[in-house]
Amino acid sequence: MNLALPLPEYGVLGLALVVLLYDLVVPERVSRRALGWVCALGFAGVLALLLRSDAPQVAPVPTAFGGMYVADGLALAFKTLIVAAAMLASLASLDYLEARGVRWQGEYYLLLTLVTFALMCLVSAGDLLTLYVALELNSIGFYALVAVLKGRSLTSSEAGLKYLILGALSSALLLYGISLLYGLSGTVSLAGLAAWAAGAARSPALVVALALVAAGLAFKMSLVPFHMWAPDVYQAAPTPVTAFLSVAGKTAALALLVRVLDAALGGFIGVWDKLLMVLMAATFVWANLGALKQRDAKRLMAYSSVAQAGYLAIGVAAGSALGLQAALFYALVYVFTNVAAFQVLQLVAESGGPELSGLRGLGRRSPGLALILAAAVLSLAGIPPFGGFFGKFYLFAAGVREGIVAGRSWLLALVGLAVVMSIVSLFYYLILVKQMYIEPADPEAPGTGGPVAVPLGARLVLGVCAAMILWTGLYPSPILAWIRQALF
Amino acid sequence: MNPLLVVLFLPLATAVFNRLFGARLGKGAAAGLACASVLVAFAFAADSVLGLAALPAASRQVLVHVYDLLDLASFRVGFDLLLDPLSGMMILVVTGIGFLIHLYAVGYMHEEDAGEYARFFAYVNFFVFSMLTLVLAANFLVIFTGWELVGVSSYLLIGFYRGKTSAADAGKKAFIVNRVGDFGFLMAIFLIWNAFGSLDFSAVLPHAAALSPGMATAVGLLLFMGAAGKSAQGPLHVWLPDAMEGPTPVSALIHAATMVTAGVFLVARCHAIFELSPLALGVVAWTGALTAFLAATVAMVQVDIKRVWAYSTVSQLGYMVLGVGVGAYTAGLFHLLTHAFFKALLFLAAGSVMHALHGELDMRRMGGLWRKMPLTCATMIVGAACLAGVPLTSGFFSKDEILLMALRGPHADFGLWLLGYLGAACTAFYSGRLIFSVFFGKPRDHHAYEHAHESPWVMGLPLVLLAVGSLAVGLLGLPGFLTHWQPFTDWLAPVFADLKAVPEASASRALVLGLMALYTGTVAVLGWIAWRLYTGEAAAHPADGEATSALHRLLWNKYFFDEAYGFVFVRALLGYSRWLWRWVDQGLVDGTVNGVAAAAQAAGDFLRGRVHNGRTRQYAAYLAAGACLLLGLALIYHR
Repeated sequence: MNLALPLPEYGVLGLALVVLLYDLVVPERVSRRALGWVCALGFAGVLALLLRSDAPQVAPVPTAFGGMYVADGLALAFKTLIVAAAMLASLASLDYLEARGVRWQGEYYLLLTLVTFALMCLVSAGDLLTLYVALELNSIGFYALVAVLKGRSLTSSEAGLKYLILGALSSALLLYGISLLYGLSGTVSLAGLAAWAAGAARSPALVVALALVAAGLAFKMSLVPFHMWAPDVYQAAPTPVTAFLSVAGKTAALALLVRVLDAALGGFIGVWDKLLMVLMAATFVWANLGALKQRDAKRLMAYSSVAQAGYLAIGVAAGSALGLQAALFYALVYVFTNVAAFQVLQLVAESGGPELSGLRGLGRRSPGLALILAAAVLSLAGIPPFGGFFGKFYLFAAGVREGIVAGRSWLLALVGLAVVMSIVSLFYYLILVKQMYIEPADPEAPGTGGPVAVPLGARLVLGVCAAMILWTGLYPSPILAWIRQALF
Repeated sequence: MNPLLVVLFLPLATAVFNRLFGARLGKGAAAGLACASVLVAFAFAADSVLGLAALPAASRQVLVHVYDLLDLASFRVGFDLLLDPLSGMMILVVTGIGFLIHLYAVGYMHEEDAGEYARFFAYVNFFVFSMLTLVLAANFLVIFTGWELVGVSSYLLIGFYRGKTSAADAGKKAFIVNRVGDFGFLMAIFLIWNAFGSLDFSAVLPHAAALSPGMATAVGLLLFMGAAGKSAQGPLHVWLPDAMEGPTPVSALIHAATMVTAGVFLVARCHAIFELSPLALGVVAWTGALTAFLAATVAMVQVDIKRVWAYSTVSQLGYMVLGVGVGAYTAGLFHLLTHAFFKALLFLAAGSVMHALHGELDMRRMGGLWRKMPLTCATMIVGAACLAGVPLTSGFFSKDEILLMALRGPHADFGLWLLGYLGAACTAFYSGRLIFSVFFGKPRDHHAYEHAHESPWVMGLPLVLLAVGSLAVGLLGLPGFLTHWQPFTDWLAPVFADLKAVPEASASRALVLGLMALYTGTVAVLGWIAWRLYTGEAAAHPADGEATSALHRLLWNKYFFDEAYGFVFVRALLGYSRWLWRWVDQGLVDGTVNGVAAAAQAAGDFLRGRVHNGRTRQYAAYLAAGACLLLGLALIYHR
């Protein structure tokens, strides 16, 4: 057994220990703000390690702990995204927590690192048990992170509690599905399941298991109607946590869908793809229409994130290598785009408040911030030359190709619906742009005077994200090559 | 690193640098940087061309792959550069004459403040980069990119004097009229891609014969539509005279020597396609001949000296197009080369006069200036002699060659020759008229005359160099019966190796000499008439709006092209747009869109208020309902 295999995970665990010790040793009156930099640097180091490692190019892929931990290219690629998101979240948190005088900053960064660790284990999970434990570990961490403003913000506590209750319910569904699968197949290993699924007969118990697993995964991915938690939680959670949850949580959920549905249960694609496509169709319609009338910027972005999850799932529903590549590319674009959008909204909300009207006149006050937010939302809407355009293009192309090649006409119809609804999405994305550039600023409103203050951490986040939004749109070939290599 | 990359990207780098920091550097540094970059580019271009010349004639083609622009498995286009004798000649012209014009601009623009000065040089350098991209392109995507970039730089420079409405309007006009031509070019590129599955010249042009005759005609005509827009051929010529609103060095560089010849270059580059379609070639030739003649007649009555040269440029471009249209590509390109020298010279000399007279351009207020500015006068006379085709000047050789080919070449037609000949006669007249009105006779505006002065050396030196060049460049293409030393034809021979041998022999020596005598006589007679008319005490210039005849009125108003366009396109288009706006857009489209949007918004309201109400119990119920839904679906589909 190769104990050195999970080196990146060890790195993040080590970082968690450093955070813990720092919090214990440093006297209480000293601010824990420096921990944000420590975390950012630590994550940057792990990120460098991940970027330097090569994805295995021959089967069998290396495993550890008796097959419970898999170090394949898929895991490597998704871990890279998760750690990058964690690094950006640490940078975004620095001044946010300090400005609110949050007392348990040490705990906050500890939870952030542990959630990251759990997400990394999740995407490397080789069997259903590891998968479930990692899922619970990151969920519990997120419940606490969402409620970290407790005592200052009632809604933050409320959202944490709501998330916990609904999350527990969905975990129960998933766990029941997993136990049924184990009962039927006699194995919890994903590879074992795949071998079993290839020849298994379809029984009613299997149908129940598939439905329950799909429901549990749909909750993590926030597909309609399992998305109800998302708008409430996204709106009330601290903005850096919202950003991290929306990108890292969703990326890991995508990896989960790929691992469980495409890889382990690929033999039953004829059953679960119908389930998934119904959920996706509901997601496209509901999320995009629901976003139209939102007045709170973060709530609007929550609906947008739900819709984006639907687009990501196209790659899984296609079930082809091309679909998987497209989904991974889209996830990559989505991480940087969404973090950029939330970062700008966070900075603006400090002075202008959480409502959309707080953005008024931003184009004049802080042209740079306005430009980045405009680029981010246009990228989310799929407008060239930003990365989102290529991401959507590849996803839709993969869906159409699979629909034609495999004769899955439902998939074609679904892509058609996705295209139509992404036109609807342009409406609410442009509301943001309109607020920044066209709506006249109210001179009486608070915080509409000078430019928005942008601290160093936020500057770094915005710089990295803006560069990535442009790079993925203008010159995506190296990134595509990296993805192809990871998913050989 | 390939020297071509230096040639191409050095001007771009200095353009960016000057635009960002030039204003802070001060005038000297900005101008020095700009000039030096073009000079270095010229040196590297010369080095590349010499390297090319060292290769055996048949293999004079260098392909440089810079990077992949697009790589979609089935469709790959690179940023590829092609250096062959044709593009080699063009880069020498662009950087060589470009450098002289840069040098001239150092003096000409010196009254601008530092910011404007740096902006000017940044734009001009950007133009040089764009033009080099155009001529060095190795595929249709890159050439189209360069094509559009020169359009942008031309737009920026025509409207350089931002405060002047007329300059801004002229910039817009140039851009929009060019877009009409670009549309054709783009369509041609689409057809080419459809037919060949590639945009590389190497994959298209040598295999052009695979095109069906109808397709070859369509591609040829569409390509020529683009060429006519850029090279100001009738009826798309209307932008060029207005483009003289830009600073004079810009008129010389962009609107005389380089950019406007891009259309000729394009036809020459794609001659393999044109040769397949006699119809397309015929359209090219007749358009060129008509433009050459009509523009020359307009130039005879204009009184603004830059406008005279502008119409003259349209006319001379007509000759080049006529040349390539009758299949005499080498002759057309030779005229391109000689014209680049003498027309740049004429514009710069006109700028020198304008500079001396504080912006005066009306030749009716000049006269007798040779005493005040002998250098400008002498060099302008050299340029005008070349333009008019005075024997033994470069213009004489290049224009004669085109006219000879129009009469005896592979696609000859007597009508083409006649138009060309009449145009040449007009050219001799208006050249003489301008020179005699400006420099000879009595000063007509004494105040302006008293204050006139010769220009500084940075403006004088380019004039002298260009004058020498204008005379010397003729030696590269002497008539075939005089000498076998034909460097220009030999140099371009590999590019046109696919053509059947030009039947030079069909023109007897007697015919050639006879034609030369005819031209010489014509130039002498018309020059003499101009001398008599415009040097006398009462020079025959009518005042504005005082037309001496219907013909004069027609020419003075440039055949009413602008008015016709205003009536047919602008007014009709506005009316149509208004109709579209009122009925189709506001009624039909907005009605539908607003209806759909209202429905969507109502759905949004419903979801926001009723369904998503924040109650955890209800959310949990949705969750359970969703799980049941999935279960039901799974039961339906599990077979």
